[in-house]
Amino acid sequence: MKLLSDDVPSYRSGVGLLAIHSAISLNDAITVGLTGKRKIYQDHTHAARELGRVCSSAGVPDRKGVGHFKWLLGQKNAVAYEHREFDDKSVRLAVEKAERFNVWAYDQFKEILRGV
Amino acid sequence: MVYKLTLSPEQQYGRAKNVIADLLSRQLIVPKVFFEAHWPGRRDRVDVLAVDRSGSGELHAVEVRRGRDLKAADVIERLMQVPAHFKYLALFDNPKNLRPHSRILYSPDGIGRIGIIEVREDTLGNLNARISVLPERFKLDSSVYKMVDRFTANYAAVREVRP
Repeated sequence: MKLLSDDVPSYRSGVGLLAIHSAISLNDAITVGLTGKRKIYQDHTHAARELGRVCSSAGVPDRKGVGHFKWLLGQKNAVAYEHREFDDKSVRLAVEKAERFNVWAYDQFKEILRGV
Repeated sequence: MVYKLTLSPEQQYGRAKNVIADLLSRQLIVPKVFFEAHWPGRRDRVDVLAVDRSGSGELHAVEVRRGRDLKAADVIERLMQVPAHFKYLALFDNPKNLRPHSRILYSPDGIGRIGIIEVREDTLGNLNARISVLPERFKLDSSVYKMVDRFTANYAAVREVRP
């Protein structure tokens, strides 16, 4: 994602989708690490709600990451199901949101994600 | 007439550290980067230290040296003592392209090799860093993560992504 994002016009969709899927994978790692179960959702927005629940049960008050994740999932819906295309601005924002989600996740779930 | 911009040694060293921080930021996942890091102890100093995954991942330690007055054996010996998963010697101002002999880059037990970063300026004055010798991962006890947590809690990173 980071390497391709040097050339957003050429790799627009690829960068956007990598940003979204990296966040989905990291969210899976958190939920599997904490609950031992990997859930599969038809509607990805449920994954954000589940992450909120995981935060509650793990006693994580900082929910900034849930917001970033929700935004990224919204983009996935728009691209995959509503056939809207990424523009350069939304791709750059997706990369930024994915990076911020990463930082939040590694800060809040350090012990779970160490070694992932 | 062509003017050649001459920077002080401190400026050249600072630029080299900065371009190395760029390189590590691109290679790693949301790292925290520290300059002149007091790692592993308060009296120690590592020129550039990057901790991957926002401080929860592997450690990358870089010693930055001017190539023209390189004392390779000293700096390699020093780097061998630094607890880090990946270690690098970065060389700038290196017109003769000096570099340590490859055999001294390896850990005595063979688990780990110090990488080499070359920092070069192009004709337009742009500075670039590239890894010319890939580092190999050193073996570290997992207790290092407790030290890392204390370090990242006590020192502010010069470069990090905000959540």
